[in-house]
Amino acid sequence: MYFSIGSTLLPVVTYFFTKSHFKSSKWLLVYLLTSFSFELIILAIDKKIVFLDIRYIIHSCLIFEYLIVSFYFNYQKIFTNHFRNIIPALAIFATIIYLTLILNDKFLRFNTIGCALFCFVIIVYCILGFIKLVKRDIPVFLEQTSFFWTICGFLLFYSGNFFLFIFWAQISPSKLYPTLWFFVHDVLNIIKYIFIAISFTKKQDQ
Amino acid sequence: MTLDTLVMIGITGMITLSFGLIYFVVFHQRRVFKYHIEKMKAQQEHEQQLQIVTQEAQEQTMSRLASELHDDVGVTLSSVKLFLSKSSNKNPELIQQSQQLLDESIEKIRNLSHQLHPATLQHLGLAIAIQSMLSVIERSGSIRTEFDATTITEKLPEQIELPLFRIVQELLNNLMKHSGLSKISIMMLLQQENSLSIKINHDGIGLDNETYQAEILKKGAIGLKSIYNRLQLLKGTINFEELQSQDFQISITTPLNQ
Repeated sequence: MYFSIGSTLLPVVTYFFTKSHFKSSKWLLVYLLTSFSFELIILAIDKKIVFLDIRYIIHSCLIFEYLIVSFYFNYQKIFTNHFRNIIPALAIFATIIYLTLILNDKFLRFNTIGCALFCFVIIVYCILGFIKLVKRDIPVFLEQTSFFWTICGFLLFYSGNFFLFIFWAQISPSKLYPTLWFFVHDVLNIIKYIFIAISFTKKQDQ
Repeated sequence: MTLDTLVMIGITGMITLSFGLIYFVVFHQRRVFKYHIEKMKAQQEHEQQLQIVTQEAQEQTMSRLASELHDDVGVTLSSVKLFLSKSSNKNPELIQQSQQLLDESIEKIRNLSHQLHPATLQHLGLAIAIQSMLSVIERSGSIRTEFDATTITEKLPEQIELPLFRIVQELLNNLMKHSGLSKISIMMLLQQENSLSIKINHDGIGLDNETYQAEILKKGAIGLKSIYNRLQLLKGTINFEELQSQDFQISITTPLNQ
């Protein structure tokens, strides 16, 4: 868990060490800082260092994180014409559904179905990103582009966590849950941040 | 099968699918890239073939035109001159003026014929042809010229002589028109790695590599484009630089075994 939280700092440090940045990288930096703060707050509440109403923090941080990822994808140059409208439409749609879900649940608990929905939408963004990267008029080496590494990180993390969130209510009481959480959430989280750090080192945008 | 196992299978499946998708995208992109490069190579080869054919046709036309001018028009004008000299002397002044005009025309036609198809190049080789071009420039009186081709002892392969001659001819034309030079020197050097280097030094206003690259991409600049195309065919290079002496140097290097 501590490694997972600490790994957020790897891309942040990489960002400040690399000289040239793309405009869209700023959204990633905001995303990283939000994730880091979010994880720290959760840790502090978990260790009973602070006493806060966890529900509001979780809901607002999740929506904020999700919207930043949407902004990041929407900012990509390759999403032109009708593709550009898909991302804001999906972002608004998923946020409304999430808000409806938590309001019906009376803000009582961590809304994992809403999280799974966010994961699903981000997976769709990643697939759209891949389609646009592959359909470029002038092909480039994908490994040399910043966007490719970011979507790889997002795709692995969110596709791994998708099932975990869907069945969270059923599997959380099980003894296997902490191990599963470590291997799926924490390890994939570290992989995601390593990929984002690599993406900051790439000089070519898309 | 318990729910835990199902969830684990689902998660593993999703992660495997993601890896599969990433692998597919990278693999597909590599294939597209390879195809794109092969297509570009084929296109370049085709363009090169087209250039060779066009230039050969151009040279043939110029050669025919040169021989027509030299053998037909030149001879006709010489005959007219002869007739004029034998005609009755009713108006000697007019006849003299006509003879002068005819002399000028014959000279112009001869020069034009040499420019279109230099016989010197065909019979005596590139070095002598360039030297002869420089001596014509020197005769104009306002430009000092120097030439050095001591390392060239044999005639160079025919397929590189004509394009190189045209390149030097075009560069000299451009320099005369635009640079305002007062001295020019050309040095031809046969290098050990079986390549030929031609260095043109002048004290006029010179180009730099960036301007040259920009010019060949622009519309117009036919002369520079023709230099670029001929060098492409020869697999040669051109470099423009300003020397410490504030003179400019144009270096052309081309392999000899084409």
